[in-house]
Amino acid sequence: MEINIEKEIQALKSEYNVFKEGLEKQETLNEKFFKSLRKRPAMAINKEIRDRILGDVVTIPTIIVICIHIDWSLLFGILVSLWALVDLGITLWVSRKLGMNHLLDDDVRTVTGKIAGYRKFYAGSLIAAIVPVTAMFTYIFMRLYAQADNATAVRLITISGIISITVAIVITLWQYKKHVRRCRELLEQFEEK
Amino acid sequence: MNAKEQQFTNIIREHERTIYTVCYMFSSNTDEVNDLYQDILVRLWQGFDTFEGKSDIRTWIYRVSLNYCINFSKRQKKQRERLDLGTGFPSEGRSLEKNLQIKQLYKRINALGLVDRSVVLLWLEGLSYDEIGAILGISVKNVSFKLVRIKEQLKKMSNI
Repeated sequence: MEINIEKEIQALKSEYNVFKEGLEKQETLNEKFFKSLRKRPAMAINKEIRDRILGDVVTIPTIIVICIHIDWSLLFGILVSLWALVDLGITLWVSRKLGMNHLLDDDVRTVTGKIAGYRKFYAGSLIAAIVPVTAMFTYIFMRLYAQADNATAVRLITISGIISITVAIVITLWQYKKHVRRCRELLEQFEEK
Repeated sequence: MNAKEQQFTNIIREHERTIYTVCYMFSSNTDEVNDLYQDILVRLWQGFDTFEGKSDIRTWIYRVSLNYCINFSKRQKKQRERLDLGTGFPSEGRSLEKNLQIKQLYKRINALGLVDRSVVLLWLEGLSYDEIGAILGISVKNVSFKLVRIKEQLKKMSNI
């Protein structure tokens, strides 16, 4: 049966107004709402950036305390701290460039482009970080090996370390790439075809 | 409630339905719609201080709401596809046949891509092509082109 789409769309438009009239009026804006604002979760990217900044800030004193108290090389502590500082600088720059506080104010196409760029940047930086991360964990493992008193403990440290690092990198990269792909798919929909 | 909160509350009261309609276009689950609505209010409040009035307040509300819902939809893509969209709409006072017709049309609209769905939503809201273009970041020509193509797509879907 042939359906008259124009007629149906006009019907939809009038029904749409009926629907809007039927929406329940919500009294959500009150003192309680404003008080609970601080407890609300932020947008995923906002939270990611905040967590990353926090991670960098915590890393520096932690690694220095470890180096002083557990007889680890001070050079290692300095290198890790420098790395955390560089990451902190880049994260702050990205956050500023993205304009986190106004991110959603732009039009949908611009916002999608910005988010795709952000994810792509971090996917790239994660790949670039594989070598320093491997070097860092190799050092940590060497120190742990030095403290281990039997072969089983050494094997356990090696296997669990390799598996957890590989899984963490693969999952993060996969998530970033998936998000970039979805943003690209969306950006393609904006094109005039 | 201070003056700023009162001003924000008044703006939201005026545009409450607008935010709800955007939420309903991206979810049919009432709890989810309410969560989306709350999250959008938070985003609007966070941006309220710095809203410079470069665009119309309505355009700004649409932008924030659509950006939030589209991002939410991207994250929940698989779940969205499984949902029976359109069930969140009130059905009182309509004949069974008409209700089914409207439901089917909403189902077809929800089968469209996120951008096309947004175009239809804004068009249904009665916005001009200029406003739709400004919210989505596309040209007026592209808006009209998309609407023609969407109507054709909906027609094709109805023939299946």
